[in-house]
Amino acid sequence: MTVSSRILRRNPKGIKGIEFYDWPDESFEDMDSTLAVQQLIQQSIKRDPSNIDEILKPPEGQDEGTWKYEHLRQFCMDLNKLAVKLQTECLPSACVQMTATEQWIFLCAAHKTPKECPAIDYTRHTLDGASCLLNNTKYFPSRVTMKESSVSKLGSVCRRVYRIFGHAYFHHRSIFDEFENSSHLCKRFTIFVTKYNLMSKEHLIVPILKPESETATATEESEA
Amino acid sequence: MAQPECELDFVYADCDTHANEIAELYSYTESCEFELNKTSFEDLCDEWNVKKSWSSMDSNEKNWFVERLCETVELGKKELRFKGLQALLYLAQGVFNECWSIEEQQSYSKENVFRIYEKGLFPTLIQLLMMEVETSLNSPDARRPPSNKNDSTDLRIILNIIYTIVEVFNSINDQATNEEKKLQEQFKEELTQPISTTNELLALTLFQMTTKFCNGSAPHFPIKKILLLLWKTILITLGGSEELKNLKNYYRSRVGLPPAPDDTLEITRTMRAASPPVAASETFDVQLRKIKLNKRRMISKQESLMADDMMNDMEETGETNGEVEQAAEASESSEVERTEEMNDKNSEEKVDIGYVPASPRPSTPVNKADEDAEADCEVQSISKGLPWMPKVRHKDIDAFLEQARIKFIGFNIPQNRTTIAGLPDPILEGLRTLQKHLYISLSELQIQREEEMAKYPLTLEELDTKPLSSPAESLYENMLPSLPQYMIALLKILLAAAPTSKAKTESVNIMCEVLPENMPMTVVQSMKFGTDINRHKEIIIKAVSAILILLLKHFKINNIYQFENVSQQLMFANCIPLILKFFNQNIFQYIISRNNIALIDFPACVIGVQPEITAELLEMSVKEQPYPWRNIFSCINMVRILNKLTKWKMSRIMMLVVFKSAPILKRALRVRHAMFQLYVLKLLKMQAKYLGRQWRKSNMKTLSAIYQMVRHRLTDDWAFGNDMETRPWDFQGEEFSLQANISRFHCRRYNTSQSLPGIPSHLPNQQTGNHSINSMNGHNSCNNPLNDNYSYAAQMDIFKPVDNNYASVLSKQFQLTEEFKNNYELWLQREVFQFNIDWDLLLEQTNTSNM
Repeated sequence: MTVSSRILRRNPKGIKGIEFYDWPDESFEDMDSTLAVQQLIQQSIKRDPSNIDEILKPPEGQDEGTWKYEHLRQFCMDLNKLAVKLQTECLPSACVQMTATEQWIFLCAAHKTPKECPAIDYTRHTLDGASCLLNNTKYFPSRVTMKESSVSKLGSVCRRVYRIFGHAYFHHRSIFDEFENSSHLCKRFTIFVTKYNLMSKEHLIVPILKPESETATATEESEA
Repeated sequence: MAQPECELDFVYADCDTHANEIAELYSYTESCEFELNKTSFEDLCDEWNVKKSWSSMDSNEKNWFVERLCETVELGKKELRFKGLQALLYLAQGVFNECWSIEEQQSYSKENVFRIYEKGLFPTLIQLLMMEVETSLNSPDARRPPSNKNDSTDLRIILNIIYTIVEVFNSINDQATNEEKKLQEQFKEELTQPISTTNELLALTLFQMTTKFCNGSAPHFPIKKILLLLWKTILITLGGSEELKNLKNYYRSRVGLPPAPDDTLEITRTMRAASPPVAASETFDVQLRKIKLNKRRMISKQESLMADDMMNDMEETGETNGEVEQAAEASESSEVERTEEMNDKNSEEKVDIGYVPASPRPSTPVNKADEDAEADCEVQSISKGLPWMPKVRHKDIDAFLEQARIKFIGFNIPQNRTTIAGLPDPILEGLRTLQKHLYISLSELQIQREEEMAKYPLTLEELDTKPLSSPAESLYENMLPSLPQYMIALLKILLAAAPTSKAKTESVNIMCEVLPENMPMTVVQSMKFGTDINRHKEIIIKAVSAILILLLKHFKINNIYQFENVSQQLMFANCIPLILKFFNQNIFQYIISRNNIALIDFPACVIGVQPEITAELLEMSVKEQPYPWRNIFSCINMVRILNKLTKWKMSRIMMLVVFKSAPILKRALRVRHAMFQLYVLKLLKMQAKYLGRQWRKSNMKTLSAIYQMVRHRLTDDWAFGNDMETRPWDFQGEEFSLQANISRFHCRRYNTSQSLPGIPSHLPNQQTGNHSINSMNGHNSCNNPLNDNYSYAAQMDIFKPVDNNYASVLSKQFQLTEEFKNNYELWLQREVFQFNIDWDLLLEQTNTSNM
């Protein structure tokens, strides 16, 4: 007989797809696990993916480094869904280089020597590389504290991962819009990196935040 | 040939001052490229609408700028990427256009390097370096001989940035702030691990670049920068002299040995250089001059009688000889003034070297009870006169005992050091003295443990597991597969850079990165170019010699066989004649040659108003400078390397004799620097026995300098011609047995097969820390036919598990003998039908794992 205060976060056998993850919310203080932060984030997202401020608000006394790290993990996991959708359209023959706008063509840094991978390969390699790095116990040995030396790695991961958004926006607009409407991922990512100063705004080329001045920012960037 | 008049002012250290090291990174032909970096930076500033100058930006704005550069260097288009890299280099070079003084440039450079590192750019830079290397190797004109420095521009930019970063971190000393020290620790740790992007140590990557350069597949590499970077990487990850000393004493304490009694660097700092041996013709002049002065007449008479009496009155001989030298030179150095003062006081006890004269020979103690106490005092007083404590090895004690026993008792008890029955008192006193000075080196214990481990492989483990997790160990492990190639490459480059080599005949062309686009036309240009070339070669020699000595020293304390392997590889690659060839020139001239033009060194060439470079200005600036630090540093390193290669090895000492090194080394003694002379004298001491009586008679001054400066080994008869059998047939055997020991060590620790050095070993699991376990896993592919006694255990397959699976045992092919085939019925009756075997029970048992 289960005690009512204990919440079982499991998808039992035979459950339907739409009923996945359908367990009640738990307050952060009650969570008793090393993965509490991840649970909290996923919970907030599930409750309302568009309430970005709520998702990004850290609980009291939360270590900022770990908070950023957990969010970045979550972003990489969520981006997989976009990558899967992109696969249908973003073929290596169509998008030969990883590019957003004209001048922003990027090298894929996930190899020993950086290569000019086609866009879909860039996406896959970067997401793989990011998860390898974030799971690497040498740099991130714990889920509750952060090594100071590893904080700089978060910035470079953010920059490389952001380019996926850029490419999707400028070259696969329909997929991007569809995905963004349901998950609000790009907006959340943009606000996240701005809030924690992980990227400079010149590199945030997807005009997601201010739709009114969308044309203004787009022209500004194309002059750069 | 100028005769050096006073002592060279040089303090040995791990590297030159930070400013000099940075200046030596850039050759003079590169000085036109500094402006290009500045231009790229300014272009990017315009592009990104940056109105402020760098120095007026606050921290956030600077971080923002660096971050934009992070993005720029990952762009696909090469021109844009390199623009970013040039701007980055400009930042690392300290934004020199906005600096008014060199100190300002240095502080900006440091600050920017920290910023760049904190943004995580270091692994990216290594990646970009790899990319450049690969593209340049794959490009169609890789094989075409490179014509000038423009063939390596891109590589040079990236290497400059990386080197500046490493050198700034290297230069952080104890006066730095806590944050800086923390960053340095972090950086060191990052370099000690394989780089995250390439998964190999940076040092290894650079070694491989060096071999590619030497085997001709990449002649355009800027080899000087690669070697400088390799040197600094090894220095910062493994540690310098201070670290070596501490590590050695730490390892010694871990195996129960007392710390090493004296540290070479400390003692040589306080030693005074001996006067150079004067050539015969000069002695004659000296004598003529002396006859004029009354005071000196007595001494000149003494001098002529001295030749045969050296052994008896060593101290006095040395002192008065020295004094004669001093007087003859009539130089203004304060040393001479001091000795002349002392001259007035008493004419007999002159001090040459500057320390307290040796105390008189201690008398035999009479009272037995006080014997030990007095013996201690004797030890103290002897050490007061000479700079070094005498050392004794176990071998020496054994030899002494053997000799004494044979003489007094008639037979020897091998491997017994304690039975002293039947030996007379004076012998016992000698034995006690020997034991007082006994020095057990770490290597001795390591060798002993290796031998024991070969005999008892399953029960003994490593002598000390701490060195297994050191950066030196991981470097060695990674270097092992291609170690011979790396050593050969380094020596090839050293040969090409030696001053006595002709550029055309060399197999590697190291000049390519220095050659300007247009060959020099004017006189000034040619002067500058000539200086540049020489400077380039000197810096390369500095880097190679420093790399070699660091590797040898670190590997020696890590494990003796690692050291032996490296020195054997060097020896087989002809390092000994190479170093001797290097010294076969006017070393003093080489040391004081001033191939530096301070005016156009970086950063002086980009800060402030640049004067017009004329020939007169060049000559003047060359004359005014002190001699550069690097040349004497290289010479000391080379002579130290030679010492390390030849010490205690008869075969290699005979090589020294055969190559007629004695006159070369004697000429080198002209350099009046204590530390340098010490190592040269050590080499001469090793050979003194084999050089013949005539040589010893005519080189008394050298021999007395050896006595005064080199550590004395009790029972060592280096200056006598006894027992000159050299047994040349033994030399090859010596080297081969050493090789066998080394390969046995590799087999055990790294699981490599010695006969095929090209096969890389699968690196053992570092976490277990106990490498001997790995060799027990039944994958022992070690082929060691040479050293049967010690590896019989391995050969006897005791590591393979017993095969008790009935199916496989029954399926083995078995040859039946003729006799059996003829008489098998009898056998069957005897062995099979007589017994009843419960097969079910037997098969049941073999199904389980506790059989």
